[in-house]
Amino acid sequence: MFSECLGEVRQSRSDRRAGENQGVLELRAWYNSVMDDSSPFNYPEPNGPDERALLRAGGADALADLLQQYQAPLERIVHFRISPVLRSRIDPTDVLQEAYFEISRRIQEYIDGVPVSFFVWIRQKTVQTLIDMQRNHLREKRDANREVLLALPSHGQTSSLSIAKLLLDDMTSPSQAAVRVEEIQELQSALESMNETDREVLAMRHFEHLNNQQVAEALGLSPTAASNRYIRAAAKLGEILKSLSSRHGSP
Amino acid sequence: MTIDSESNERHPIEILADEFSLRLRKGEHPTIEEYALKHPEFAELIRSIFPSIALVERVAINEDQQRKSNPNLPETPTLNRVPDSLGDYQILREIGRGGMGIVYEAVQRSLNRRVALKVINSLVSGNSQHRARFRREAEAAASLHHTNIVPIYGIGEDQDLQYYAMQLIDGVTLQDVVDCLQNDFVDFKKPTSSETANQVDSSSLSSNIVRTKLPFNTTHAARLMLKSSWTLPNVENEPSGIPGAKSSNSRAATADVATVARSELAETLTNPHLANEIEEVSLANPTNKWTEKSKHAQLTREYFRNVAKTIANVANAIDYAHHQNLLHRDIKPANLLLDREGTIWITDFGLARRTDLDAATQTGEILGTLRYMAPEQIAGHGDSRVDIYSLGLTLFEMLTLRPAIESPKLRLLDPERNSVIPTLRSINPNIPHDLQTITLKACAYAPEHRYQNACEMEADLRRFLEDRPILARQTSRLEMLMRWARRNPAIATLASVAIGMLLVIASLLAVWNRQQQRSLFEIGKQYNRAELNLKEKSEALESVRKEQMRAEMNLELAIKAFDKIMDNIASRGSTFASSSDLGEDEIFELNGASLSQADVALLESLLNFFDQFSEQNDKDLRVETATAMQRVGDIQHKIGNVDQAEKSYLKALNSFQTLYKQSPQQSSALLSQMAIYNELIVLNAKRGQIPKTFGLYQDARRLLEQSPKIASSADGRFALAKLLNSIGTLGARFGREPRMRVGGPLGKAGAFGDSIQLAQAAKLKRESELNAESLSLLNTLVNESPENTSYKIVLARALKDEVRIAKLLNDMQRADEAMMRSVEILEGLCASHPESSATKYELANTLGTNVGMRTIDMQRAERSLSICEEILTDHPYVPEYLALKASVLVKLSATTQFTTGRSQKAEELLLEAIRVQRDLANRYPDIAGYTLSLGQSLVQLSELEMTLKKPAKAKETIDQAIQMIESLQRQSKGEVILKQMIERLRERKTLIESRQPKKP
Repeated sequence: MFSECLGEVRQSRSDRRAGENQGVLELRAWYNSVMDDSSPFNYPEPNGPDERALLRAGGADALADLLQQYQAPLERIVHFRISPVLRSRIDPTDVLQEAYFEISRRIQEYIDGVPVSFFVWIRQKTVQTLIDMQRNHLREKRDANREVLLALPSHGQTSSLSIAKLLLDDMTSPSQAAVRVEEIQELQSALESMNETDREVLAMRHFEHLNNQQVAEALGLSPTAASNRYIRAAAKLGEILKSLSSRHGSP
Repeated sequence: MTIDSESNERHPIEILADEFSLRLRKGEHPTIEEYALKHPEFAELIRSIFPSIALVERVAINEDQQRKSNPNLPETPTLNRVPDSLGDYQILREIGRGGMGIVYEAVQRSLNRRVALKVINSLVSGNSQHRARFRREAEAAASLHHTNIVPIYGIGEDQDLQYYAMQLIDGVTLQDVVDCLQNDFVDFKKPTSSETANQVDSSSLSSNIVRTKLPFNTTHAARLMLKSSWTLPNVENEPSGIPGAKSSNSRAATADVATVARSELAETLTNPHLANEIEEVSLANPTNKWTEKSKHAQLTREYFRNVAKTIANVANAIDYAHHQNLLHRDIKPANLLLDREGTIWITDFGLARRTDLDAATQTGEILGTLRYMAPEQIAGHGDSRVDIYSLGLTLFEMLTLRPAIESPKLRLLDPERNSVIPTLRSINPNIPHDLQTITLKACAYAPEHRYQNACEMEADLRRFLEDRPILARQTSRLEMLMRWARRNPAIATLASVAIGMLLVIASLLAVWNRQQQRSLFEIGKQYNRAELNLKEKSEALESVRKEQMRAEMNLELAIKAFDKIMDNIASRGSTFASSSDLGEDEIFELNGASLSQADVALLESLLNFFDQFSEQNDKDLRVETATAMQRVGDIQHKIGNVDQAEKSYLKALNSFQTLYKQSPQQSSALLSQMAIYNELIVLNAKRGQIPKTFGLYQDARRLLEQSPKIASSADGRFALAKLLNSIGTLGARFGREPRMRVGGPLGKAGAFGDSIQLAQAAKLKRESELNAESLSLLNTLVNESPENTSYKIVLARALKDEVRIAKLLNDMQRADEAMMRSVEILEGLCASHPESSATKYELANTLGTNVGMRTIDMQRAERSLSICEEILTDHPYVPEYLALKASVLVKLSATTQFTTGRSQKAEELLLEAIRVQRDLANRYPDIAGYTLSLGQSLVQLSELEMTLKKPAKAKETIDQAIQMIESLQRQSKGEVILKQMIERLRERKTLIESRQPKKP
């Protein structure tokens, strides 16, 4: 059970960045050392046996119903995750279509016992699909879009860029547009200085509207660790914004 | 999220944060305080984390709304459809759009008149509750009738859209005017498009041709504001006393718009002042990229007056509306229209959505408005004074051409810190003082510090216009400093630097007697640590109020700290003239030598600090500034930067002169001048400019005698005594060519002949007289106040000088007597202050004075050395004590060699001295004196080595010395003596080389 879970995490994150697997293991080691938990590998039983049962019994119709149910949150996630560079070229609906296809193809894997809740599983499939699509999109037009390819941030940075942009969006008047670009970059690099997992926790909680349990599952953390990380990340964000505010807010 | 069974696994605050976020998403407005109060055990963490959660959540909600309203263009929320007509109105064209909706030019069919039609963004008018409220507010607004409020004709709802119609104003917003003045000076060079220019030309040829209306654009409006003869039409509001304004205007407003416009243009074109400005700009900036300065330069006095008039009229209108119980809630430059007659119009009165943030956030409009919101309005409450605040910020922006608040979004996070308003005159010093006062009062952070109603603000603006004193109080100095600190966090940090210093100084004072000499640099390091601690602590306890209290306290303390710092420096740095003299062969004074370039930097930062103060407060800090300048001179003097020191002294002298002229009763300004004269005398002596020193002496003496009252006071006499002592001992110390050691086989000084000897004798006589006068003054002073230690110490020093003078005059008895008395006084002081190292140091210093031409009393010298060792046990690193020890060792070495011929012993002593001196020179490379002493000791060593038949070594040593002095000369400009010294050293080297035995 655990190894499957780890495998899933690995797969979903394998494309994010080289060495990420190592990162998961490190996280686990960190968890071991930090958490006061006698059995660190004892991940909670994912809740969602009902969905699994539903799928087992209902087949394709059940899946369609469930996907329909989760469409809004998935849309939100795609919207947030999509690279700003490609926002004009990739339609979020296409991403969902593609993801649904992938999900229905592999639904048996889930039914057979991927140990996370259904939503977290389809979220991961969707994000993975988005990443693949973005990559393909750029690969196809590599020659024409070389600079775009170079400009495409790695996945982890996408969330920080998105957060930075959103935080500072329309905060300044047009005459300060140049300042704004700088501020975005500044905030982004500050966000990038955060632990990546922490930042992901923050993004998932507030922009994807995942709850703690879901975040824990998605990142292969215990709920306690996810919870602690969230607080740590929020505090860090507060510091970042404070330091920005003292730099830009004072004359 | 409810607290369920797994709650024990989650961070308790995370659970609360989750609930908090969910409530925000649901559209509730939970407050952070409510959580903090409910969970006092986590209050601190809640207060530090929740604001950023709230901010992120708001951003996410905003993003969601935008996405939903238009998924394809998520960044521009717009109305989805533009109907051709709404109700009675036929839409012609779009005029502008804002967060609240889009404004169209339309025709009201029933009355066939043109109107401005504002269609409310459906996001704002969203639910029925909002709609009902909007209707209510629009109805209230429609009841307003005022010259400066855009009248509302009607409101309606059609095709699911809410709208209202208002008078169409042919004008531009003040926002546009500001932007234009900020960015588009180029437009003024060619003030209008060529066609407009042609029109002006033709109209000036045939002035009575009535033409169609010129299109009124931003450039016109900006020019209108810059214009000198422009007066506002609604003079009814102005108090009487401006003759002429009335008659000319009301007619002009209606009669012939074109004529008015034309004359404006003509005037701008012919305004020589403006033309000059333009020329300057284009000369300085061929690329037309013009500087902040030139932007400000275009703002004439008339511009400021026009702004004041305009804002006064706005205030009048706001006051009227407030009396109708209607708040505007969204005063900002973009909501104020200026028409071609110069009339200002307020739009959207009372129509700004309620002050709750969520509704505003949803539209994204809040961010345009957040910049001008009063802090309490951001917090969700506030009364009519929020409009005063916003008007204040608008006034700020009009005057400075930049928004007062730079990062409005961050105000959500930390309203106080991000509502800091800079002083206007720091941005553009041409802004009239009173306007600054009015502006800052209007946008004071606390509502109770603002104008309490718009009428008061208007009245003050009118007073300014009539050159009458405004009522807005010049905030008291302390209050001003406090608020100023809040407005200037960066400088307030400097004040907290000072508090750090104060902490250190307080502890320093506790051990003052034991450790009198201490480097300000050391203090600087300590205050850095203290500051760091304070910062960490305050960050941990981050709370707006604490922060504020700290800033206020800091400013008070900063002033106190300044005094202490000055005392500290004074005790180490301002006793050149009469301080201890390490012997007749020493050129430099060496005590207090631990001052360094770092001290100069520190003091200069203090100077900046006081300059900033002074900018707001013309007079109060000039004494402090002058004193700081004097101390900067002291330190520069100490570290051998003679030219810089003189500049600083002259500046300080100048300031004190001004201060003294203004209040001649104040003795302190006079006494400070005396002290500076003293330093200048020593300084010029060092440069070898002896005649100048006598001029300075006479100036100083005359200055003192001009004010007999001060001259006869104890302080005055003491100052004179010190002056006499310095001028009296100058000759001995600086007047001759430096007397290098002449003992040993190389010294033959007689080569200079008798004439010099004679001149020396005359000088000596004069010195003797001067020092005698000083001694008599000091004796009297000591008799009058036997308790005064300073008098006694200076007397002891003067006696020590007397020893040298008498010795040179070959009056050995007088020398002995002076020595005895000096020792006696100092022994007495040591007995009554047994814990004082400083007195012991003075005693050791006197005891170490040469009595013979080149010899020292061996017994006294031994005693001097043992006192040195004693004080060094307590304070092993005080450079002055080390320097004294080395100096006595050098003298002992010379005496040993001279009297006993025990060169071996002499070399040992000298090598020990050199070891100490080398250490000092390495530790304090800034201070010329230490290197110089080392160089002199090396010369002495080379002589000894010759005696000891080590010529190769002697040459090596003297090369070292030459190198050292040469590098010293490169560093310090203005030291004539060094040049002379190097020449002598070279001679000596040649001598050594000539004596070097030829190789066999």
